[in-house]
Amino acid sequence: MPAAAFELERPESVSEALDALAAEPDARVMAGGQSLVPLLTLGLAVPPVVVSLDRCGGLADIEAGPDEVAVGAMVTTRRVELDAGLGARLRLLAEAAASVGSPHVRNFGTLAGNLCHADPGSDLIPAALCLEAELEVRSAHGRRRVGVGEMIDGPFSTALRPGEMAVAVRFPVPDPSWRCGYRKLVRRAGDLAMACAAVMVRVEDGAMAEARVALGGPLRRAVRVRGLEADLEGVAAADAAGTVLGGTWMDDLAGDLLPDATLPVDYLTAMLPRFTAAAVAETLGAGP
Amino acid sequence: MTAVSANGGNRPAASISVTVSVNGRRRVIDCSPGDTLLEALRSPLGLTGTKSGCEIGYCGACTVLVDGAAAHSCCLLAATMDGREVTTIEGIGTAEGLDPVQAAFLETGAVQCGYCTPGFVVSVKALLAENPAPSEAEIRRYLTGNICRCSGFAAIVRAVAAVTR
Ligand SMILES: Cc1cc2nc3c(=O)[nH]c(=O)nc-3n(C[C@H](O)[C@H](O)[C@H](O)COP(=O)(O)OP(=O)(O)OC[C@H]3O[C@@H](n4cnc5c(N)ncnc54)[C@H](O)[C@@H]3O)c2cc1C
Repeated sequence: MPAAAFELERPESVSEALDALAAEPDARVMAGGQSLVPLLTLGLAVPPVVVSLDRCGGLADIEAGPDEVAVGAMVTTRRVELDAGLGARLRLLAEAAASVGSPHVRNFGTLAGNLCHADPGSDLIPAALCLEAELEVRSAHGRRRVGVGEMIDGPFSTALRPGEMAVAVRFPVPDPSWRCGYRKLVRRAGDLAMACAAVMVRVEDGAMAEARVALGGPLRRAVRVRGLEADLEGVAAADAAGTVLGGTWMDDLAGDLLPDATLPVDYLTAMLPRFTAAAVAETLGAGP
Repeated sequence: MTAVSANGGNRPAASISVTVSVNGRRRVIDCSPGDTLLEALRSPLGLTGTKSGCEIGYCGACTVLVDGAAAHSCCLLAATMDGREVTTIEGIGTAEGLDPVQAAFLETGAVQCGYCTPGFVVSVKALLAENPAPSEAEIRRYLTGNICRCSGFAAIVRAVAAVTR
């Protein structure tokens, strides 16, 4: 039962959906509803109109081009987890998708909806940041592409404008020589992450030629940790964990930490480097 | 027209009619935009085997199958369910002929207060349809969407393993 009544629109095409969004600036898009329906129930979202994409044609495809994979806005997390073609090219994303909540949530929740929900503990946002994904965004007035990092501006907050919706998430296909790994810390299986790390590294002659690390969980928003990436470049793979633990990159995150009563700042500043070191070491151990 | 519901929220009069297959029977559900599938099953349809717990997707007491896939019925709007096939606990086994999953829960003592049991049984049906011989780790992983507040998880996992033997 929602806390407040709303009108439900179920457009059958993207252009009809965009018209519905243009007509009501406070309308909310609904994809899988796995976050929005609880928000409506709790009264944390009180839109006058909900525009459901459940019967909107053309949004449920995975298009695999030679250099890019486009995941339509209604593709579920479960499909991202299990699709063999996608998994072969975007293994990091598939691994992160398998960590999302329960099968129940993954069966209906979508990749695009997860990114647009901008939960700091999302599993899919750090993976999308490492893979340098972009959202393809449309409104009744036009179309633009926005990087996932630029789109998310804080907890549950995005830079999408009224009238806009994501129609697809686009991933450049990484060279198969990248090793990748995903690590998540939870108290109870199925919970949102207390901390999560997506890692991609390319090793040449025993040293890290390139590294990408994205952290989420106890931060206002998940971020690429550029300082740590720079520290890791050129370092022997065997010295990776020591480099993570010895660096000053945590200073860059200080302003973004989201401590609470159970996860105070001193715990977070002690835990995150160890957690990240383990994530990087695990990725290097995984082989190309 | 709006009527005030028991929880104080505004419940608009049913304005949408959707046709859903529920346990193999074609049912017409009259609902308002905000009614969840859980509410539609329990109240207009009277299928109270599907339990209401947290109402925000965490506890799994409200698990049903939608087109064969496990779903938290509290997180789906009834108005978006037209043309779907929904299976609730009432569609699994009968009092005379229990489903093997229900029989295993009984034999293994996997039921304490019983409130979570319908949700667990429905989730296990989805698990076994996908993976007829799951390992213990696979059973535990699949059941992350269901919580037993009596914390009888060990017996529940044993019950699932017993079905597959
Ligand atoms: C019990 C539970 C456990 C969970 N655990 C995890 C977890 O461990 N890890 C994790 O990552 N997530 C978790 N989630 C969140 C889950 O992954 C959601 O499915 C996801 O965040 C939202 O996807 P959705 O398609 O259901 O979006 P919806 O609920 O439909 O929408 C979510 C938000 O995104 C907006 N939105 C949706 N689609 C679009 C679009 N195309 N364009 C613009 N805006 C859009 C909506 O307006 C809304 O604000 C959990 C959820 C639940 C209920």
